[in-house]
Amino acid sequence: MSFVAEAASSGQGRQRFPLLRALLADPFTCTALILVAGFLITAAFAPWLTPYSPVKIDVLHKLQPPSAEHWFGTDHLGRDLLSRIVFGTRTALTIAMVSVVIAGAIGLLLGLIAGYGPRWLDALLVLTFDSLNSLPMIMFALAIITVLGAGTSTLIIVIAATSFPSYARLIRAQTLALKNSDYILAERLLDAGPVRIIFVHLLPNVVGPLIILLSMDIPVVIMVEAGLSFLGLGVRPPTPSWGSILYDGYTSIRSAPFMVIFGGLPLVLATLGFTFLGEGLRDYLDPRLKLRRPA
Amino acid sequence: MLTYAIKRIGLGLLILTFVMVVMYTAVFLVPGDPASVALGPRATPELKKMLIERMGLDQPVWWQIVEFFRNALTGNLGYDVWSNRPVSTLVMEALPNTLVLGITSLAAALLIGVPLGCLSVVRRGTAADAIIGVLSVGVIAVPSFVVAIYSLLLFAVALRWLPAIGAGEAGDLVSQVKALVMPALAIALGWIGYIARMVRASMMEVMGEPHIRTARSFGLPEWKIVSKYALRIAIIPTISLVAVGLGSILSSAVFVEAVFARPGIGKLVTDAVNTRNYPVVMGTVLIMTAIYVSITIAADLLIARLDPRVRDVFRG
Amino acid sequence: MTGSLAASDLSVRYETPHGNVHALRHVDIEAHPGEVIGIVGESGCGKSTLVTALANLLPANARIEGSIAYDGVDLVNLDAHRRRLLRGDEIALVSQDPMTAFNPVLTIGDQLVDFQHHRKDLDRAQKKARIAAMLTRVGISDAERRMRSYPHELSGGMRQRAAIAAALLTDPGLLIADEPTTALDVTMEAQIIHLLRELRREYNGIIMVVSHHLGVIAELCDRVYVMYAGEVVEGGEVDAIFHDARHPYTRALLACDPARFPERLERLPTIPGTLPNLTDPPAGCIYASRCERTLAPCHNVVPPRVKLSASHIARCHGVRG
Repeated sequence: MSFVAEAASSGQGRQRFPLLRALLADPFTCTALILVAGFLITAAFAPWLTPYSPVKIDVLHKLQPPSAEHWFGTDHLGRDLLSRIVFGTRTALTIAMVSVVIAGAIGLLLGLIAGYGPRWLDALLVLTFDSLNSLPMIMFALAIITVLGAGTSTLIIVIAATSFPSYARLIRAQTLALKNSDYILAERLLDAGPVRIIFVHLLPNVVGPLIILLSMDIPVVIMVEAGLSFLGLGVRPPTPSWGSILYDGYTSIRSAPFMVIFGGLPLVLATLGFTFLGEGLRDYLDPRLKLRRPA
Repeated sequence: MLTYAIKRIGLGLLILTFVMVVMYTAVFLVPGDPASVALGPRATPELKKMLIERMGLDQPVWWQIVEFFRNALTGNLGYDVWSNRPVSTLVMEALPNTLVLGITSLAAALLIGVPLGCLSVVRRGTAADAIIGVLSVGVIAVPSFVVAIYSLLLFAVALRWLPAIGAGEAGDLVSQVKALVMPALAIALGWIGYIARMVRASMMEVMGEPHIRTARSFGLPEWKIVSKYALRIAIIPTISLVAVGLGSILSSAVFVEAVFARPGIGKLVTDAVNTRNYPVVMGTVLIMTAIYVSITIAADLLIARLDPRVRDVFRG
Repeated sequence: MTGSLAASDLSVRYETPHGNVHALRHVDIEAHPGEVIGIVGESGCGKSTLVTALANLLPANARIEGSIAYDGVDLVNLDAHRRRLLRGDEIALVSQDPMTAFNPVLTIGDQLVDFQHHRKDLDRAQKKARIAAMLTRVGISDAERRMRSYPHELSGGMRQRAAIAAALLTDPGLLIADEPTTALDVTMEAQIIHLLRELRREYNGIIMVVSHHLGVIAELCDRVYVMYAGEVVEGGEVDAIFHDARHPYTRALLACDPARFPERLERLPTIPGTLPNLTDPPAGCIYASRCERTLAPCHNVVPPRVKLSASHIARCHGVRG
């Protein structure tokens, strides 16, 4: 058939960076990639990109509308809004990356144990995952914050604790499927120990889907951080966060509406960018995985 | 069916117990007792002692858990640390506002999302389908509380069409509905996109099945095939996802209620967290988890009713 | 209403990313009221495309040429709306797999009521009464209860009976049974054939039976068309085809039918070679690459339609009328 010939010819002319090419081919994914790259650069070079300190208070020039001096205006304490937003990017992305990586690691470990360990342990862990999953996430988060008090480390614990069960479930399912596959059985007949099987065979196969899931959760985490900071339960002032900037703007929404307009924009652009990029990655790597839920 | 229902409810109760045990244990394990955390560093030992007794913190942790459940069974969820009002009363006052908000949002999302998904299927491959697809992902991505703030700025501050805060005057239905519009829309927006995508995906799968060809071969009109023969099957996975997602609707409600200062569960619990009001937090978490777990069970039973194949599996 | 069916010079091709698939080429068939017509051939011969074209159910990427006249109306050039009105009214299809033919979440009764949507003169109760009578007629006992059943609660044979009942309920002038027994076991198959034989006595429209199973065709049909790779290679009375086949493909097909072997064989005979590539059909005879007795023109001249008797035709360079 002709498509066999086609597949063969495309195999010959295999280009480098097939993933990047696939992502750039779709206009939305391409835009998303540029947005995400922009946010990453902003976060990395925040001190060099900002004209003012994000925490320097100047009450004489508070709530000033956008001008040549202060492009995005100033907040209720006279701090430069653009500088706060730029440093807020750093806060948002750092918390998102750290908490997602921690949640991913916990999920990976517990998922492997549940999938590979004894049945009673599996049953207990699955009950734990299901119980945590059947909690309304925000209630769980608020309960943890009540116990630990608000702050950056609490935020990371909250996000990790609420998101690891779904990762663990995915890893467990993948592990169970692989554990009973013919090649793992063959390995076991050859007297391979569990450590070898887990590290050489299971791990490389379960990590791919996990990374897609993690990347799709980044916009959710960004939103949770901003939301909790908006409620005053996240990042402590004066550390700049998109959520607390929005809250400051919200309290003076009638006198200085530019603050919520500029304060909300990076959040909208970041969640859009990360979501469309995650969609693109998912379509390319594993179309069977589902779409993320609204935040 | 009955045994299945009993099994699901039993599992639900087990989960509820498990959750509360974990939470109490967590409180117990955390360094520093809740009373001193709540009162701050400058509290007098007498005040602290009083609060510890009132919160039952002088008892062993397993006894606290047993007490909590024993009281909860009689409808007593403890008392607000500061105002000493019963937590159950506080929750019952706030709950209707949140439930109305959640149900309105979900209903709006279904009423708009399902037809959009169907439209995508009927017009598959056209520009309309592509636009619905991209917009769906877009609205899913944007956080609901940002939508809430922007709509507050536009419709309440700039245009003055709708009230900015509150849940409307008691007894005045028009003002209550007006106060409901923006919060409900802020939550529903993302769900419209999510439901439209879900319906489209499962509908496309169903449309390829042989029984759809049978319905076509009898000349049934396309709208009837889509709305009755395909939707009845395609809606089943959507219902279970919507039920699971109710948890995230509750989460959105917490933020959106804060933006519109709507006196609901979200506002109650955030205020309680800010003032370290343990009994209120615990009681609200228990009630919300119970509601959430029962919705999940109800959705499972509804699916069993809608899909006769599933129903028969559980009949035996 | 009953009318004659005639497809002439009918071709169907599917446009795919890998080129056009010429699934049906220059097909001529005709059928008259009261006749039972058989269509026989191996998988991939175009039977399903022919059925789909006759039932107006071709997918969006199909392009159709030639004509299908039913009761004097040209179905090919009919607009979509009027074509839909014909389906389930004049033309009814009993589809291949009774396991999946019905919607799994609606009751049999509910679906059969919907399928009578052309009968605006009947109310729901009357439609239900017709269903009960028809289910009883096709041999389903306890019809009232079965109407309240879901498809998965019925056995395969019962579902096929219900599918036949569904088709008969619409009083079609043309009833197409697409592989009506393929998905059933031998006992069920015998029962369904028995049912179809009974029906042909009291039914005065056209019945078209499509099958790869020669036995089914021989038992049920008056006339038969043999298809190969999208073409009708031979057609005629059942007796003529089964006892005096002229096209080499028909002969090979009959030789491979296990039911016709006098004794047990060690190996079942097969026709050597494979179906030609339908994205690029050969210039001459479609069967030339597998034929045992090719002549000079076979590979580059399309064989003529040779009329062997009033109703017996064959497309082959090797036969003389």
